[in-house]
Amino acid sequence: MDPKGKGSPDASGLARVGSTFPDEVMQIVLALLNSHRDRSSVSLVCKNWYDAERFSRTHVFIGNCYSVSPEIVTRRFPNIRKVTLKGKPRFADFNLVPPNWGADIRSWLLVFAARNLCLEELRLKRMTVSDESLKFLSLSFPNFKALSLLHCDGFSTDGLAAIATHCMNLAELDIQENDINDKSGSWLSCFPENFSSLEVLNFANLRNEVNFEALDRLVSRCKSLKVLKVNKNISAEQLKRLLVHAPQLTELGTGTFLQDLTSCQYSELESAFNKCKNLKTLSGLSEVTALHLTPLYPACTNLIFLNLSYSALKDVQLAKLLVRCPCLRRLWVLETVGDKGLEAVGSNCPMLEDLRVFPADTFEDIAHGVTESGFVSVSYGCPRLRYVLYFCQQMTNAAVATIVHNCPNFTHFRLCIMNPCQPDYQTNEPMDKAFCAVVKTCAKLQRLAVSGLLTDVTFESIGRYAKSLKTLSVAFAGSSDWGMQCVLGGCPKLRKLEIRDCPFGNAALLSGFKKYDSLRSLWMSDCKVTMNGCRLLAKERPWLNVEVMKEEGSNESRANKVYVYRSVAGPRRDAPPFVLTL
Amino acid sequence: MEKPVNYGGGDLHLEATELRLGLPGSDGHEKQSSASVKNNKRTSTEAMTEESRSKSNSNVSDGRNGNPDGDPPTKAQVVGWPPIRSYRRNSFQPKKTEIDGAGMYVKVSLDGAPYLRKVDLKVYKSYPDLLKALESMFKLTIGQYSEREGYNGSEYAPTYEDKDGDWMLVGDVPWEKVDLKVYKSYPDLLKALESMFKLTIGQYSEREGYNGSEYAPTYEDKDGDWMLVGDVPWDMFISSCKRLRIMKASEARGLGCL
Repeated sequence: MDPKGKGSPDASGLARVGSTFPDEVMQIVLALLNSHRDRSSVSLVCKNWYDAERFSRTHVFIGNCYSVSPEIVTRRFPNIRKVTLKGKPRFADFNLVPPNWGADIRSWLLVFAARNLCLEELRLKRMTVSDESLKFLSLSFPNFKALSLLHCDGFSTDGLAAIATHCMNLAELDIQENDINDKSGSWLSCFPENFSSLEVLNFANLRNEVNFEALDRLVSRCKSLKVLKVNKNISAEQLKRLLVHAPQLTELGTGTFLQDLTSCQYSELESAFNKCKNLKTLSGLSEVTALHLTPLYPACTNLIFLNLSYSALKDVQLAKLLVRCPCLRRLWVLETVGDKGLEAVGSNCPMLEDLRVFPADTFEDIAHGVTESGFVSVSYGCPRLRYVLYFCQQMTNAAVATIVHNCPNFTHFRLCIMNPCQPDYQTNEPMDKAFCAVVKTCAKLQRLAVSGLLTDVTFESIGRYAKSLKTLSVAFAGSSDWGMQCVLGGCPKLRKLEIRDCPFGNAALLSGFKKYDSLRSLWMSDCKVTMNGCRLLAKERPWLNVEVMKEEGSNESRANKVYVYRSVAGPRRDAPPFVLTL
Repeated sequence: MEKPVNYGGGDLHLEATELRLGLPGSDGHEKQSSASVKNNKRTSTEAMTEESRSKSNSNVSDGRNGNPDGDPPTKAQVVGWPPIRSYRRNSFQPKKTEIDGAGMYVKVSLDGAPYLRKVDLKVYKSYPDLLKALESMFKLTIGQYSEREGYNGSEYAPTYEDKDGDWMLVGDVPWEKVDLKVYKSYPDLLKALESMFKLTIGQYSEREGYNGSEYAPTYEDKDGDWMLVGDVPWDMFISSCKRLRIMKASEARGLGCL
């Protein structure tokens, strides 16, 4: 589709550039631009470029589904084929957002269909998706190729069955960590017998057993299959059969390795893994013991990403495995590996960039788990570390200072000391010094999650030094409004701010009213903000959506859950009764 | 679409976390609410101990935690803390049950008793089995289960906490659930039943049925009749089968084909 206008002059000096630049060249150049930010910049240059850009845009990323309406999106970008949408605020993952809050994909799909969009890919995060929506999707877009659902809810395996039945060109079905009504495994049997276009299949999320023979045949037919992540019902023996049919896999998620293998099965499994020369990612591995890991070794040589966050491995097992993975760049483990396991990480993974240590049992205090020393060991051995998510029982300021000294390139630093408001266990001081060290040392820091006992001093430092910070998560921290004011007054690149259970009130909330224009969203729950404060903000900034979630029986003047975000679509039209837009 | 042989959610519906033997009266009120029948949940007026609630699921907050000035809340009391997605919580640690290769252990508490016991659910094949074991473990009588009355007439009623955290009467939902669509043929299904219940059913023959075997698989069809599994073509079977029951050979004699 050709852009309208042929270099019509406009007020700026760029008019001359616009008028001598042929449209054809413009289109070719723009087709090479993939980054949303770049495209956004292009569209701001002049009207000509704006039009050229919008017609050539094929992929749109919407970080907050309520910041814009589907009508506006499709009007501006009539040719999009790939859509990525994020819905609920992130704290919905931790049950802080009541059910039926919204972010339903339905209205988007209806508009896409009405505008005859040639939808090929849909990637959703924290959206509500019903079975009807999935069925509608499968019937309305004949070229539909890729569906990715991450942390979504509202659908059942019936919806998946509709997708499998009707999407003739499906290449990707990626169902990850959703709240799904898992009725049965029969959805997998809905793929037609001649269907062979699948490249990505991830159903690790699902609990019910699928028909293995159907799965086996599907895997055999889909010669382009690159990613296969099965669920726990697939045994080691079955996995071996799948691998024999798909040695070209680059990403594999295994089932359960619970049964003991006969020596014949063992060697067959080992030789199957040996043939998987292209394996870069390995996950699943639930309920493995040391014995089950050894057949995997041949496949570990080229591994870049090892996800053991559902395997309760101990340090010795982890160490033996890591020795085989010299190229590892990303490692996710459970705290069961302990500090000793993390020492093994430090010793064996010099290329490591991304480390995540998840807690195992959150209901009881366990004597084991990881402490600050595990993290320090990793930092000595893995200087390239840039992403860390670390759940631990205890931490010290000195340890964090050492860690960032060893690894100054952190872009994502998420530290969760599991007991709220816990001080440095050695000195009993607040953890202020730790996070001050982080923001001062790590100039490239984009994402920060703080924990432990923290005063306003931490937030002063964050405001002053965290020049690249985009996302900040705060819980049970701070001493007064001043803390939040510092953050809002500094952090030039801040996009997302999520706060819970902190002593920040109206003064803090209102101090940032200019800042909120540049934020994607602000979340504040169980702080000291009141309804009046929120009303004032809404009045001051009428183009922001200031939403308060009211709970039954709560204090009328308190605003317990506040969600503020910029939007060109105006207030929500689909808000449930407990969401008040001020 | 899907034809579960028996209703009920979850693979093994008894992903129970705790069995409680309560005094009657706590279960006696449920018949008043007619709405509960649909979803199998009877209202229970029995109060639960606070510790078991708060320990079993830190997602349920016992009280308001929005008190930043006061004492810092402990881990167990706070909604959504530590910040771990419920998918991860649920998938890794089944609440309070240990599923190892050998068994599925569940805590059993008796109202008024000073300590709890543990039973391995996998050892029992049916409700009467389990109830008999509980009766002998706790030296009490639970009596018969009836769909209408529950355990009325008995001094005790066994209840359990399901995946959703609701307290349910033991006996309402089927012991096991099987999804017929997952199987492609009779031998498939029979093999699965054999491994599920740890018994041998053997071969089907048109003349003799399952003669020679200790057990015979039967099913209730759409008309409510009990039929022998294997007589009709597989597709016809899965569309007409409502419930499955594995009868002892002696019982099945009445079907006239053994």
